[in-house]
Amino acid sequence: MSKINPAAPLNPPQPLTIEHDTSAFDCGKAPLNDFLKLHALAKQNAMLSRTYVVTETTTNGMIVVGYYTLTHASVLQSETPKKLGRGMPSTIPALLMARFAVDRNWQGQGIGHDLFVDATRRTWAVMQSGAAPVRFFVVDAKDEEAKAFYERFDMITASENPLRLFFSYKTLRETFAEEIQEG
Amino acid sequence: MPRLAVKKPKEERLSIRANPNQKTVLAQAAKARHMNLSQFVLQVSLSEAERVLREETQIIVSPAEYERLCQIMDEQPTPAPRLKAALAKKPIWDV
Repeated sequence: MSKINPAAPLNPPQPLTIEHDTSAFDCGKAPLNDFLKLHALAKQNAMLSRTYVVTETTTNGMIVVGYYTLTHASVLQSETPKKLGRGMPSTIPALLMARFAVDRNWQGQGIGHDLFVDATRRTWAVMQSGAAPVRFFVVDAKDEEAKAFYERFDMITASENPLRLFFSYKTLRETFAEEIQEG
Repeated sequence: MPRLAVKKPKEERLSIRANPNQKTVLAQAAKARHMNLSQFVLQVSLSEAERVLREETQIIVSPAEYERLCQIMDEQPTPAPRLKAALAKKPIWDV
């Protein structure tokens, strides 16, 4: 089913707007389709999350072929500790890649790989800007297959939740600092 | 600074069904807050809606895991050579 040689070029990820056609999007997972079609724009307008879309320009407009959603998240403790360790914050700010999907017709061409890299680069830009403190980039893998995808980028698995993975601020700083030097 | 004329968004009607008991309780509570029933129901349900939406972005971990994350923030970073290698690839939309 995949388009081996897409005739139309793809547009780089940009924030979702009403101009983007999500109506035909099908990644094979209903909740991810529904989120994009029904909730992504409203949540973005309410400043609860930001959805970035890769689109194909067609005569009918810009058709979404893949997306990811970033949202601010706070890491909290399940129970109030008797005493916070010295210098330990009461919450840790993080960016969560809450959703991530590629249309079935476009799977297997590396769009997921490129979208994920884009998400980490964007996260690093937020971390670096200092506009909001962000200490971790977090993903919740849907299954073992998704987890294996993230591990191929050296994400670390949370010790108590095998499907949650993260990059620390320092890891991204080291990774992207070298990229800038080389560039 | 001159004020721009901002068009007030049109309000939409929201109707809900309640049995007489429920309505009485809501009306009494609204009165206690010096609001009419409509204002009260809207305000209370909006704050609950915000709470529900906020919940989605809380990552709850045990104190032990929390401490581990704090340590990771202080320690030397774990390297991510494969992410670094991935940065070098030209994305499909740039080809």
